[in-house]
Amino acid sequence: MRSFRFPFGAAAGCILALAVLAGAWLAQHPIERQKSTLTLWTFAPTHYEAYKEAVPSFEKANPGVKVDLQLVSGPAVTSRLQAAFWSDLDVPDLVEVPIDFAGTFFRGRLENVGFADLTERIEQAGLMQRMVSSRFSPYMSRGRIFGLPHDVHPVMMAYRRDIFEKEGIDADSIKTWDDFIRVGRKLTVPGKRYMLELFDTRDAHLASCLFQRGGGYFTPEGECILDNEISVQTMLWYVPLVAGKDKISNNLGAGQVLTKAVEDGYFVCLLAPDWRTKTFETTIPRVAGKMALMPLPAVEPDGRRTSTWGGTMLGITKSSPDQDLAWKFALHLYLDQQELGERFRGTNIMPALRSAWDQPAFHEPRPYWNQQPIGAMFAKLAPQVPFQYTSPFITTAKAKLGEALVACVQYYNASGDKGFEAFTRARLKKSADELRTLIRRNPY
Amino acid sequence: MKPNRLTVFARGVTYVTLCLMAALTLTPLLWLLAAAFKGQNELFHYVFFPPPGLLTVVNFQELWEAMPFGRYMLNSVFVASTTVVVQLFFGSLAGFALAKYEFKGKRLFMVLMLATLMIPGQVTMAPLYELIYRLGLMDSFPGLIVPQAVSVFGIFLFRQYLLQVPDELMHAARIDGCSEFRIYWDIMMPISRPMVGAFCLTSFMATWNSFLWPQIILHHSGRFTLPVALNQLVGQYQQEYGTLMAGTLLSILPVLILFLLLQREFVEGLTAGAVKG
Repeated sequence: MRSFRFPFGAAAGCILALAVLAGAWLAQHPIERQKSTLTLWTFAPTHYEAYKEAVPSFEKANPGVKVDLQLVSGPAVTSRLQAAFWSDLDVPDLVEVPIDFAGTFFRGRLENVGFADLTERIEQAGLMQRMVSSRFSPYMSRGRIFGLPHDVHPVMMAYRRDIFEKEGIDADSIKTWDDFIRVGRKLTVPGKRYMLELFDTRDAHLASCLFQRGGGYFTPEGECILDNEISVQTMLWYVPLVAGKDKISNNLGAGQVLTKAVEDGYFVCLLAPDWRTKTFETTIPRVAGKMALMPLPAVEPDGRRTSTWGGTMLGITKSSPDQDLAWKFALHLYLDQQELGERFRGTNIMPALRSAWDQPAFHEPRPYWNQQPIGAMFAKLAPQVPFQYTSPFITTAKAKLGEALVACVQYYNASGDKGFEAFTRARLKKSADELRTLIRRNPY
Repeated sequence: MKPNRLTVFARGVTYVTLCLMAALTLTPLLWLLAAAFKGQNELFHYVFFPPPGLLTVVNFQELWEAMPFGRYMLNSVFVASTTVVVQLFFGSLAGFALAKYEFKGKRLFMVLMLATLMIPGQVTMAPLYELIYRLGLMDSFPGLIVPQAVSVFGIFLFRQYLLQVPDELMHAARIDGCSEFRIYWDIMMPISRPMVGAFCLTSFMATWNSFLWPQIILHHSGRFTLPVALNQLVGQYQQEYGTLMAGTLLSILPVLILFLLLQREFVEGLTAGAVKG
C-alpha cells in the first residue's frame, strides 16, 4: 500500500498543524453570541472601562434591555462606521467619534447624514444650558446638532514650578501672551532650554491659539476662514515663536524625547488641555510636585484665559430601531454626576455637564501638580472655552493649515521679518482657496 | 592562495558596514525589549535598559490581567495559519494550471488577474464589507479568511516557478497513468517545496500583521486577533506603553520562532533558480 505523503513540505505541514491545533482549541471554547438591544462603539479604553461600570444599572432600570459595548480603536471607528453607513449594514445604535473626524460624517444632504438629529432632544432636556454650550458647536452642521459633547477640554499652561521659583518668576504675574513672551526671552537659552513646547509642523497648537482669538477653520455655515484677518494675525504672531533666531519655543515630538525634555528642564512650559495633564502624570512621573498649572495667557488684558484642544461626541445613528432608548442610554452615560466625578479622577477629563463639577473629585488637591485642585481650576475656565465649527472637510482643513504653517516657518527661518506678512497672507489664501475649491465640488 | 591586504581590508569594511546596519535595524527591537521590562517610572527615563534592579515583569502581568492574551494569540494563529493553507492550495493549483495548460483566454485572464493587484484595498472595502455581511460572515473568522483565500501574488509566484519545470516530467507521469491532480499533488508540489516555504512565511506574516480588515469585521472582543487586541491598549490621549510593548514583544515571538524553524526553506525559496528533478 502506498503511504500518504504531504507534498507541500515541512513549512506548510507545520502551518497546517498549527491551524488544526488552534482550530481544535477554539472549537472547544466557543464564544457565546449575545443578543443585544443597544450597541455602543467607543474608541477610548478609559471610556470603555467607565461605561462597563455604568451598563448594569441601566440594564437593571430597563428590564429586557441588553447593551453591547464595543471598544473599537480610533481609526477603526471612522473606517468601520463609514463602511457601515455607506452600506447601511451593521450600524451601531450609539457611537463615540473623535472631534477631528466628526465633521466628515456630516457630508451630503441633511437627510442623508447617518447620525440622528438631536437638536430637539437637546433643547427639550435643557442641555444647552446644563452643558457648556460651546462644546456643541463642533458637532453641528447647518444648524442641527448630531452629537452630545463628552468633554470640554479647556487648555491651561503647565509649567516647571521649580524652574520658575529658581528664576524668581511669579506665575501669577503672567496675564497676557506679551508677559509670557517677555519671561520666555529671559528663560530661553537656545539649544538648551525653551520657554514653551509648540508644534512647528502640525496644526494642533496653532489651532488652539486660533480658537483662543475667536478664529478657527470654518464659520458656523461651514465656510472656510483659514485666510481671515484672525488667522493671518495669529500666524504672524505664532511663527516667530517657533522659528527664527529669537524663537522661544521648540518641538521634539512625543514619547521618550518629550519626557526627557521635561525632566531635564529643556521645556519650561507646555500647553495642557485637561486630558494632557493625565498624560504628563503617567509619562513624566519624575517631575511630580515640580509641575503646576496656570491659566493660558490672554491675547489682551482681561481676555480669554483658555482655549480648547481635542474632544469626543456621542451620536445616535438613524438606523437605531429604538432611538428613545438610545437617547436614554446616552443621558445615563453623560449625566450621571457621581460617575463623571469618578471618571475625572481616572482621566482628568472635564465633562461638559456643569453641575458635575461640584463633585468632590474636582476639588481634590493633586500632588503631581503641587497640590493644586486642577479640577476646580479647569472648571473655572471651562465656560470660557471658545466655539469651534466643523465641516465635512475638517481633516483637509487641518492638513492645509499645517502645510501653511510649515511654509511660513520655512520662510521665516530663511528671510525673517522681511516680506513675512505678505508671504503669510498669500500662503494662507492659497491654503484656503484650495480648500474652497474642494468644498465647491460638494453642492450641499 | 593567501588573500591580499586589499581583499582583507575590503572584507573588513564590508563586515563593519553590515554590523552597523544590523545594529541600526535591531535598535527599535532592542528598545521594544527594554520597554517591555521597564516600569512606568522608568519607561521614558532610561533610553534602553534601566539598572538590573529596576527590571520588572509587571507589564506582562498587567497584559494578562487586561486581556485574554492567550485567546487572542490562538485566534491569530488560527486565522493566519488557515489563511496560509487555503492560499497555498488555491495559489499553487491556479499557478500550476496557468503554467502548464493552454486554454482559451489564458493571457487575458492573467492580465486581468494581475490588474487586480493595482486596485487599492480601500476601494473595494465597502463592497467587500457588504458582500461579507450578505454572506453572514460578519464577526467571524471565515469573514477574515474567505476574502483572502486566493492570493494573486501567490498564483503569480507559483506560475513563474512552475514555468521552469520541464513539461517532459508531466508527459512521463501521464504515460505512467497519473491523473492531472496527481501530477499536481505528487510531482509539481514536491518540486515547489522551496517556493512553498517562502510563500508560507511571507503569507503568514502578512496575515499575522493584518489590521484594518480584522478591525472592521470583528466585533466581539473574544474573536479579536492580536493586532486588533493590542490596538485596544492605544487610548485617545494616553497609551499604556509598557503593556503595549509587552504584548508586541509576545506577538512577534511566534513569527520569529516560525522563521527560525523554517529559515532553510525560506532562504531556498528566495534563492530558487534551478529545477530539482
